[in-house]
Amino acid sequence: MSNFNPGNPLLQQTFAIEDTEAGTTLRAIDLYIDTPVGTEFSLYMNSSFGGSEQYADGCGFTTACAISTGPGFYRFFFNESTYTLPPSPSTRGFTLRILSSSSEGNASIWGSLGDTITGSCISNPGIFDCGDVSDAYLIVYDEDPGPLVPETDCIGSYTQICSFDPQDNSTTTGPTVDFRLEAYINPADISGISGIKITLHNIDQNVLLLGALSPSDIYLFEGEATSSGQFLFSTSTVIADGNYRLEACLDRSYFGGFLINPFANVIEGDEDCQSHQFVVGEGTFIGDVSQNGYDIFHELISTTTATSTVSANTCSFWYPSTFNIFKCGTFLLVPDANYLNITLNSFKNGVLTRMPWGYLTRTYNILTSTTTSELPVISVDVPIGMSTTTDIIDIHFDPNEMLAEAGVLLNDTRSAGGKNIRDILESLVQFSVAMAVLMVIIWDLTHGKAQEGPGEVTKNTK
Amino acid sequence: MITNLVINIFVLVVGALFSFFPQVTVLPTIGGFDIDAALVTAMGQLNTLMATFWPLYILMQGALFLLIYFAVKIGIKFLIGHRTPGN
Repeated sequence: MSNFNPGNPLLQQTFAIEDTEAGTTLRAIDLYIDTPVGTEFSLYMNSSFGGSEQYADGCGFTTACAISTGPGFYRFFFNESTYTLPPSPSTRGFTLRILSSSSEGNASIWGSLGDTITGSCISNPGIFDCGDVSDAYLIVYDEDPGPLVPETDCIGSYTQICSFDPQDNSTTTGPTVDFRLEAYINPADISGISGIKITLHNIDQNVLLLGALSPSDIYLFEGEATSSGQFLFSTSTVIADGNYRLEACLDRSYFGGFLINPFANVIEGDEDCQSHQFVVGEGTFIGDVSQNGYDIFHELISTTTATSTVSANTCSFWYPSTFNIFKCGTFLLVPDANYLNITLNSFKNGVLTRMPWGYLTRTYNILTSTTTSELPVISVDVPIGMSTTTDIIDIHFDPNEMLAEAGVLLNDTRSAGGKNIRDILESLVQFSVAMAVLMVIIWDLTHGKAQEGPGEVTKNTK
Repeated sequence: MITNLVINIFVLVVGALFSFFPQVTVLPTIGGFDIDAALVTAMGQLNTLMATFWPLYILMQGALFLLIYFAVKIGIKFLIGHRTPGN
């Protein structure tokens, strides 16, 4: 691919025209432009190329093929026919045509017909004002580069949530709020029956109970990832002023989202559900309390330091700077993890090793051990004749060899994606067994005891 | 703090009650048959099978969980008898 970048923006009047090669085929152009949101523009090659102006696909003299959404790259394709760059730099040229209502005109942005955009279009007499184009430059492709992938560093080796907006603890001006979610989906997570369910949920915190029951909650996006790689979702929604919590979640799903496994961890080293709290316009009283309460609750459940002196001061009225009713409540009620560990060990040693619990403890230890024993080998001498020394058949069966070979077969049979049976099915089997255990427990709790008839009384009567 | 205190009191009381019982760390031998050794061997062979047939491992975990549940249920019935919920 011959891909040259003029480097410095056009406004600085430098081009790497000498980097192009004679005979380079033009297939696509990336135009970097910095112009106000909503500016419409079009792109074409000047007539010096092939005798007539050649517009990019979808573009025309009065037809805009792109609308600015802010500074960034816009890709234009010339796929209907190919163009060979002429050898002489003096005959090359691209024109950016601005079609917005406030400023309309042409500007040559490459080639000898004009190297600059300095706030007005040049090169042709009587040209129009090009408006607020503050920066622009080109990247030329001689092969089809495919759709433009937005610049992002959301590429990794594992499925993850890269970013979502609005940012945490931000305040945005309403009523229209821009929501955005960027994630990366690893191909291994959406192969076979496994998939990833993506959810973007806006929770109204301007109600009691941390917004859990608010009818104003909005599911902005809820669906399955259909392909691996970068996932981008953006939308704008009108919501009332107040406090909100935006929750982005990735869940393990099966059979196209028919089953969800809430126990599986999707994002390595991080939580599968992440939250940002933000305010639109001005916060409400309940919303402010809800947001602070959620922050404190989440922080305290994540790290319990109930025995620290800092936590003790949160309950002291004589230290108003550190007194905090939420933290004080947690200090009083949430047990310290280390101290709890010591207490439970004492319970185990003092009670669970005593009769009759000791037998249960020993049984549990045996059942959870990972020590292995070899399976018994069957070796039988079967007499088939009169002689017991020569007329015998030795039947020898070693199940350990059979298991070893079966293990190799199961582990090494892999799908096109490199997964074996265990990789594909293990999480589903875990989920099924967990559901079966749960149902047995629920059945036992609700139907475990036979019902007595009404009025049936057990007593001795004489 | 308060929860720690409550748990401590509970452990102290229960520990005092069971301190009169003998300590047992292995399963008994009944009629010359060592139950402990038999269970250790059986579990060892099952671990060997589970290394190859991995669904067995997950089923074992589920069965173990159920075993713990029924053991806790029996324990509660033993402790509070007819006042057990559902009686």
